[in-house]
Formats: sequence, structure tokens, C-alpha cells
Amino acid sequence: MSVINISLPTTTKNDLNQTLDEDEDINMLEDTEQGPTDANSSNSANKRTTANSVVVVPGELITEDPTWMRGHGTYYLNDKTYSSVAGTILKVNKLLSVIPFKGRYSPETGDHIIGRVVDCGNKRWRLQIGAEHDAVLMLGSVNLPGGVLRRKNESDELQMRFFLKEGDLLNAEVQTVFNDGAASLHTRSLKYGKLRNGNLCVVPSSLIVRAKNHSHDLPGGVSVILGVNGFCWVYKTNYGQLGSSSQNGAGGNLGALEAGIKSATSGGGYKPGAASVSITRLEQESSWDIYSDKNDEISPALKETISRYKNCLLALSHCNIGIDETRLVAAYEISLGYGDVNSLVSDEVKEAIGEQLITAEKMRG
Amino acid sequence: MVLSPAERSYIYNSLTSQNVARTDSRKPSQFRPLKASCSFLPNSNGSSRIYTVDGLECITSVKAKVIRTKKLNELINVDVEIQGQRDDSPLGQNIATMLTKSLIDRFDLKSLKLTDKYYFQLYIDIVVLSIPSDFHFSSYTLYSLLSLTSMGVYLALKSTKLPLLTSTTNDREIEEEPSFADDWELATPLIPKNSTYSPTLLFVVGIVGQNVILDPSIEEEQVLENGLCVGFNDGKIVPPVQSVLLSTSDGKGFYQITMFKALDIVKEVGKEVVKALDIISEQDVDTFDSIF
Repeated sequence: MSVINISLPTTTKNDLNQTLDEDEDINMLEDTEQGPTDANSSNSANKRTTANSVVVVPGELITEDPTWMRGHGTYYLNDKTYSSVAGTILKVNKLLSVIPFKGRYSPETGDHIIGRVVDCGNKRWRLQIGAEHDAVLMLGSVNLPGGVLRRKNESDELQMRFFLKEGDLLNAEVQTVFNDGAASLHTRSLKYGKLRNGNLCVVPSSLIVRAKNHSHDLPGGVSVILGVNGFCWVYKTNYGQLGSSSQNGAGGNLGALEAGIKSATSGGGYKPGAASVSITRLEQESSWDIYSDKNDEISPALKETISRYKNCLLALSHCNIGIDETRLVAAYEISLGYGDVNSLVSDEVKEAIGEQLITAEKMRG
Repeated sequence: MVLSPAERSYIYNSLTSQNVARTDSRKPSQFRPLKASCSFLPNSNGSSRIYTVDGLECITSVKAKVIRTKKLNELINVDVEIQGQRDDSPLGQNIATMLTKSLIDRFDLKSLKLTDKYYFQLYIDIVVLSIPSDFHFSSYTLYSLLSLTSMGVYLALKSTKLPLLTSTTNDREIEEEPSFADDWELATPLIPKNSTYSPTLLFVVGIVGQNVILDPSIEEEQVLENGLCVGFNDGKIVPPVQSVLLSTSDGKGFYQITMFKALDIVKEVGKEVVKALDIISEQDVDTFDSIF
């Protein structure tokens, strides 16, 4: 493994054709995921083409028919509609819009995201989430030590910086989206809150496939939160869930609680009993621990696994492949074949992993 | 990007541990992949463009001017412009000074000599594009740009061509202004292929605890305790060897032994970096021809 790898930025003809081919593959993969929306658009009057999705580039003429309503990603000149972004056309009844391939994250209610506190102000924190506007987290929509059902008073307001301060990373859910696209968040569940024991990896938000569940336990003792906004947190799996583990005091119990909820959400779905137990327990147990900044002991081997997962995420994003749990695990398994973890830094290896992943998925069909 | 305390301690502990575990899984002496090309500016004598995967980009141009002078240490002028920074910002000025000094120290000034009275003066202009948008409220200082800019200067100087002198080189008795061949094909490289001279390269080594890491990423820079800028030329460590501030928080001193570690790591990788840069500078690629 050489210490430095400098290459020419120019793409040759062959490279260009190759990347075009790859893009097609990926579009095909994405099409299968976007099943429902595509079905909608093909049901609606689709005069221009019979294909499921049409790719347009900025400035490309979409239609000369003035009866279409123009949505996001389009503009209008002399009765003609053009695309203003590179993306796929989406037609809903008579509304025509272009969904961009890339771009800033636009929050939607219910999204599980990761953000970084940039400002601590009047009863609210502002979070950078990679969207056009910073998100707002109200003091009233977080769990404070002493239980969920407590009213927030002035003393809480005064010690807001003790809970969350500038630079802190936390995962949260989008509660509402305002008219201008700004999001309001909440962390009213034990699966949300401050992030510890790991490392952040940022990928384009368009690559994260929206799913029911965004936090996963992966092989190798590592968990990941794939934030819908493209911020991914790779961290040490919290094994407190085994219950019998004799961790110190409240921390261990809290871990068990979190794990219980996690298993309820990831496994057999929502169980009313489990949740009610956790809420009553939360009142007793939730202390300052949920706002702790201290990491647990993490072994060097685990750190290597975390960095390997991080590199796998970067490899998927380098190859423009949509990211979900199965693909991440598949990429991880492929990457193990490349031996030493520092070999994953180079672009060739990243591309090779992406290619292997795509061929493996094609084989499976 | 301000790191959260948990992230900070995670990265710090990884870097200070016995076997350094960098968060991007690089070895302590491994660079991030770079992209570079040469001679792409048509109206300068030599140019280069070099950028990292995380978006820092540096464009360098070398222009030559004929002057009549005796002050040989004024023959090289380096100017650094950083996007979004004032011209007189300490970062840009410090980088420019360090580059100028490191170049002048070792420069083969004979190659700039035209006649007894006239010399080529080199203007090396560096533009740093697309620095991270959160630079102004972060704790990293971007002095790690020293390494990138010096690689850019190296490539630009290697690709520099000077017009061929047609008048006489001896004007001691008869006053004569130098004149040049107007055929650009005849231009001679500033550093001929067989020359043993090569420009000095600067390396930035991050120091954290007892460990040293090369080419620190922005994330790592924020937890570094100190930094060292080390010059490398012709297989040897050359001046400047100087401490640079890589992070405005948690600065600490370092032991002598750590400094020697830093020098060793530069000595170890220096040759490979020079080799990699030389390969790039020898590839004269026409951007347009290769695509169409």
C-alpha cells in the first residue's frame, strides 16, 4: 500500500462510457425502490413517453403543452416548460415536477435525522441538518432529566447549555415542517438523543433510502443510524439490552431500556405493554446520563470495524449507490476481502466494491 | 464544523492510542487520494491544479518576467489568495512567506540567469478554492494547506517553460537587452529532465500525544495538539522545520522524541511523494483531446 496516490483528474473516453453504464444500472436499481411513485405517474396521463422515469438535464425542454402545471425543478419560457435541475420527471395528475438527483436535504415529517447544534437560543436550539434552513428543536420537545411529563420552567431554560450545547450531535425526528421548508424536531423517545461512542460520516441525502427503521445493529458489534438527511452515525452497539449485564447503576438500566425499545421497534413491531413500561421506568431512570458526553471503553479492533463501516458508506456514496442496511452489510462483507482496512481509502477499491455489490444484486435478481 | 465532546474524545483517543487508529482508517503516514494535473493555463509559463477528495483545491500559476537586478533573493515571489479570506489575512501571508523562504533557500538560481545583468523573475500565484464553509467559526486553522500548496508549486515549477534566449549571454561590455525566440516550441524547461535540482516540498505533520500523523484531515486537525511543518528536498530534511498551529484549541508542547518521529516519517514518505508528483508532471495531458 503506497503512502500517496495522485491521479490525473481527466476522464478518458473509456472511463466516461463506463460511468455512463454504471449510472444506468443504478437508475434501474432506484426505479425498483420507487415503485409506488412510478406507478402513480404511469397511471396518470403520460403522453411523452411510456418509460417509467425520464431523465432530464437543466435547460432541457420537457413539454410544449401549456396545460401542465409547473412544479418544483421546472421553469417556464414562451409557453414551454423546461427543467431547471438534473433529475427524473414526476407527473401527478396535471402537475409536472422534476425530482433532482442531488441537492440539499428537504425535511419531511417523521424523518429520522441527525443534526449538530449550532445555536442555543430562546427556548430552542438550532440544528444544522444539511437542509436549506437550520432545524429548530424546542426545549419543550426534548426529554429532560426527571421524566417526560414534566413542565419546563425557567431553571430549565437557564441550563439549556447543560443539556445540549454548540457542536453536540443528536438524532431526532422531524415533528413538523414549516411553510418555508424549515423543520421542527423532537427527541421524545429514548431512541433519540445525544450521540456517543462513534463517528460521523456524511453522504448525500439523496442516497439514503427512506425506510421504517433507520437504526440498525450490524455484524461486528457495530450499530449505525442512517439519518435521512445523509448524516450517518456509526457507533459501538450497546449490549446493555441483555439485562443481566452488571453495568454501573442507571447507565446500565437506561441501556437496557433503550435496547428494549430498539428491539421492540426493529423486531416484532410495537407492543403496547413494552412501551408503557418504558415510560414509567423512564421517569425513574432518566437522569443526566442521557446527556452524557463520556464515551464507553472502545477496543482498537472495534474502532477499526467502525472505520471500515465508515469507509463502506463512503464507497457506496462514491459509486452513487442507494444506501440501506442490507447493502451496507454486503459492502462490509465485500470489503473484508480487501484485507487491511487502509486499502479502502483509494478510489479504485471503492469502485471495485461498488461494482461487486451491483453484480451481486443482479445475480440475486 | 465544531466537534461534539464525545466525537472529540473518540478521535483523540484513537489518535493517541498505541497503534494509531485514524477515523478514516488511514495509516499514520498515508495521504488521502489526490488529483492533480499540469500545464492547463494557456497564458502562464507553468501551472498546476491539485485537489483533495474533500474539496480543497489549489491552482498555481508561474509567470516569468525579465528584470535587471542584483538582488537574487527577490527573484521568486509567491502570492497566496484564499477564497473568502482577505488578502492580508495571516493565513495566506504566512503560507506565502513560508513557501517563498523554502524555495529561495534551495533554488537553482543559475537557471533564472539570462545575462550578467538580467534575470528571470518568477511570480508564483496560488489560488485556494472552496475552503470549507464553516472555516470561520471552527477551531482548525487550515495551515495544513501548506502541504497542498507546496505540492502545487512543485508541479507548476516542474511544468514551467521559459522562452529561448536568442541574444548573447554576455553583456558585461556591451549593453544589450535580451531578446527571445518567438517560437514557443523552442522553449526550454526551467528544470531540465536531467537536472538534479527539485523544488523543496513542505510536509505538515500533526502531533497528538506521542504520535505523529501525516496529512491530517479537517476532523483530525481539531484534536491535534501541535503541528510541524517540515521541508524536504533531495532525500533530506531541509529548512524550514517549524511548528505550525493546526488547531486553536487544546494546544500543547511536544517532546524532542516526537519531533524526531515527525522528521523520520517525512524522510520515509518524502521520496514516494516526489516520485508520485514527478509521474504527474511528466504526463502532459491535453484535457480536451482525451475526452473528445
